[in-house]
Amino acid sequence: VIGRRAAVVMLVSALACHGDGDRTVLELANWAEYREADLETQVLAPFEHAHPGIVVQQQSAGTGQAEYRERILTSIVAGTPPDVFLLDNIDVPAFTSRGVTIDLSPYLRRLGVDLTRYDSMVVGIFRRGEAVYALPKGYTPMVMVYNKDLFDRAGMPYPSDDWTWDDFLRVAKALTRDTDGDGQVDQWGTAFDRRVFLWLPWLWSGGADVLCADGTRASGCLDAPASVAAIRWYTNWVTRDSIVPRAFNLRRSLGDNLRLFQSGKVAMLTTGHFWIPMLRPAVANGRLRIGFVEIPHRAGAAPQTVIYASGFAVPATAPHRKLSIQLALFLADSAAQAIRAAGGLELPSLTSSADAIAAADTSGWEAVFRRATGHARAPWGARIERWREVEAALPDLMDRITLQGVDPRIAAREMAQRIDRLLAPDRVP
Amino acid sequence: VKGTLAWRLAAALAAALSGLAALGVGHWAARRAEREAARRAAQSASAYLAFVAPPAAGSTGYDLARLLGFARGITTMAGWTGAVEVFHGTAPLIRTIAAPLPAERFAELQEREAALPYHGFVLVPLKDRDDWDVVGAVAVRQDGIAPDLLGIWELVILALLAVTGALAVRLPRGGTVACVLAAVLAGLSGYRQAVVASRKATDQWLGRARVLIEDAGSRAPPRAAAGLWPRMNAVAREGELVASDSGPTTVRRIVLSGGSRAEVRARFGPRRWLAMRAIPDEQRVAGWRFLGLGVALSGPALAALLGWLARARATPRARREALTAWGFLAPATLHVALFAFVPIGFAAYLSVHRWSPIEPLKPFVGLDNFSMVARDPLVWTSLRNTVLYSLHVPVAMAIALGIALALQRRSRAIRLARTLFFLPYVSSVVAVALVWQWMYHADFGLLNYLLSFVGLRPIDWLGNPSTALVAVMIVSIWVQVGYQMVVFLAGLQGIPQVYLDAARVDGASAWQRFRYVTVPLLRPVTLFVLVTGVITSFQVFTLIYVLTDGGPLHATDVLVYRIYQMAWEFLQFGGASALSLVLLVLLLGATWVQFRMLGRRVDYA
Repeated sequence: VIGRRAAVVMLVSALACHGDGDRTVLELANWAEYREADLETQVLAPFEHAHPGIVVQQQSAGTGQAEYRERILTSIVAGTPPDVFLLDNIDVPAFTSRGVTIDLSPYLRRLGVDLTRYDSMVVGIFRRGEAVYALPKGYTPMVMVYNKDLFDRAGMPYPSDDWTWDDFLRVAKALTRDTDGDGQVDQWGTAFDRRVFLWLPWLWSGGADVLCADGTRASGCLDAPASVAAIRWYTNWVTRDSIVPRAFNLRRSLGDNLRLFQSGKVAMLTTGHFWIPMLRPAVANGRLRIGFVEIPHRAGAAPQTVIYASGFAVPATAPHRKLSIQLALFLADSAAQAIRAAGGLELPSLTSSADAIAAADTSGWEAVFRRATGHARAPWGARIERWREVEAALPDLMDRITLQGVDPRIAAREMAQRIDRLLAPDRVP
Repeated sequence: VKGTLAWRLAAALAAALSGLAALGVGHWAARRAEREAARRAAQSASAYLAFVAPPAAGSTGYDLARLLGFARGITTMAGWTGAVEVFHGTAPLIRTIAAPLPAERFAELQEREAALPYHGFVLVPLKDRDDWDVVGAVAVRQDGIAPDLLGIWELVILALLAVTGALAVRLPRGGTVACVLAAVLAGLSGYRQAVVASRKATDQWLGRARVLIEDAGSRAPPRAAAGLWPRMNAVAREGELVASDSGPTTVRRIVLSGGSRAEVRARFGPRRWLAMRAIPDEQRVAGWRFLGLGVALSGPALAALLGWLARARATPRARREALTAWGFLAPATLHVALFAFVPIGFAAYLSVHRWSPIEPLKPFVGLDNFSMVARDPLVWTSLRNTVLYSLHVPVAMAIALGIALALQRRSRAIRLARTLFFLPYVSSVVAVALVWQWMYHADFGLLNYLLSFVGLRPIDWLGNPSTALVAVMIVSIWVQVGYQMVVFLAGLQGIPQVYLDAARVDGASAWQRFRYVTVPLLRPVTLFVLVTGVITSFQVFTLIYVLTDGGPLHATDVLVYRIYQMAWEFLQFGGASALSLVLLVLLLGATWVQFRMLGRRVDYA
């Protein structure tokens, strides 16, 4: 990806840094937890080796994305931003419209970067017109993971990508069982989640959506008959079908449902690639046999899911602009993506790397994610700036229906009006 | 008399110097604005040259002869004011007999790619056509904006400060008040310098950028102008450029999306107009008024201090004691001022501004943030929840007092029990919350498992809006009881045994001894535990954040959680600061009520 000219530029700058006897320290900020941070350190080793005199300090906010975002914002206010930072898709609209990150597109030609080698949809998340504000690190479409042992015990065939909501409900009901005969259900077909990032693909796969196409309002879309039907179907898991355990995920970043899945209490779970590292140990020691499948779609609707991505961005006020851009390019390059792939946190954004991983994967997991990518769309968060406020309000929609018993049609209409007020153009936050 | 005169002279000098410092602050801000105007003009000129100068054959650098022509052309443009120089490498192009740019300065420019000062000029890099390598520099002289530090008006203010400062020694009240007024004048005068210069800086830069854009437009092929104008964004960097209708080519102020903008229209080729907008610099200097006033007011404070010292000469012992007392108090005062009052002051500043870390414009909005907070139904929900949540404090206190009474005696088992009760208080709140989250689990939690033994149906503790807050309160009681128990134990051990013995001799029962001896003597401790407990309960955040995230249906949405969400998730720091000030007032009110109700009956002796 990095051309000969770029190599010369890098060499010259490296020699310049080395020549004055000082070490140049570049700061890389990300939200990696300790295992990812280890991988990232491996990724950085060749860069530091190729750039004597340059040290890349990794600042990993392993506590979570919220805390990471606080750190980035604080450093920007303080005028000491990191040289390169990981940009989550949800922050793209705000950060790009306010000039927080620099447009990398003018430098890509010079450095020989061919953006067509990246997944076009993933690159599109970080693009605004001709400008490119981050080089994609990786991505994941949302799919379903299922417990093969529970399917086998119930004598049910594993699901296939073309399954529909009706198929899913039938399977989920069959897998909801009282396994020890004490009169209490202790195994559930699936798990319900009020968090938007997990239920949005279900709405989409039902031909519904939260916002209208232009992203300026929810009325007419969230309360449209198709959306109400999709919301009703999804919340029926709790209110009518009883195919889910009672505890809903209240906290955003902790996974009761994942733990239930790992312990064989839940048969199917909506997931992204990001949970594979947590599932792998149990799979490796034989405690869990799992498979992945695309999220089912409503009969008559096209299969759809959402894709989440992150990319390396350079702050507009980065003190070492050229080195920062070089580092961002390196981090998104094939060598870095190959090392990172070992962690299994996401799909590489380079199409060739993703294909290579899928081809080498004998479990068939990666192929499902690749196929799901073909049905995926960019999330709303990557498109509209006030999505965070909308996302904070939307769990109330699920709570009102599942906890208060409000009719989905009424709850959707009221929520649509609330979102309209949040997105009103004349509203000054 | 000589002594008094010396004190007066010292006070006059202190007041005048502080006034001068305040004016200096304003002047410094004005010079800064002047420097910024020069920097932006140089940046615009650099971008203009990158647009108009053709490349050298087979290179990303510029055709030197053409670059020289365009560089000299800048100085002859109608509307361009001020001295400018363009360097190719280190060689000057406009005034060729001028000294070349020192090699080390050029190297620094290449290394840092940032504006540098250079003999009264501001130097910015001239990059190649790929915007990658620094191949030269553009320098623009900073001048014509910052007024003189001392004009007649400023000298009058300084004289006034000196006179009133001296007066403050003689007339402690009237003189100090007059000195404060004069200091305010000095602070505002300094601020005025900053505002006027900032306004001029914006106008100057926009005016210069306009002529560069118009010249670039006149050189673009007419048919290509439509596609080329977005490249002018580099000339208008730090502002914004939009296609528009024709309009005034002089800079004016407009209101856009609720914020002020400086705007100028520029013609970019035939029949194509662009509007160039920027956040007016005078909007960015609002904070300087506080700095200038703060510096100026240090004069009256010093004058008042000198006046006190002059008067205290008659009572050296009192003076020595007062100075010693202040010496001991100073570290704590400084600490509180720095870590409590400064943040509170900053929160107050934020609360009257629309402030976001990524928003370049942070306009003054008066009480709009308070109004927004008052109109937000979730704020009222969180307020109600916070008040309800604080009701766990008396419950925890009652339990803590009961345990303290039970664990008064000294034995190894009791010491162990005390440690066990205290353990939750020193444990990580996050760890505690995670353990309780699992204990509260509707299907697998320990609590529901225990309830099943007595035939009760399982409760979705954290998932049900009617039980979630109570569930959080239970965790909070579990955490707080140990600490409160320790404080009560200390209070109980401070009660002289002789009072209890006397009551026993008088025939008082255990309950009567507790009711009429222990409880009254524990009132100071009770007041302390209650006040700190209520304050802590109003500030609850971590438990909520981990256990429920404010849900379900905002049943556990409390004020601090709302402040956090407004600030860090929605980036509405103004609203969040307004809400935090509301919380401060509520806490002050709650504490005052508690002191009124219990404080009068407290005997600290």
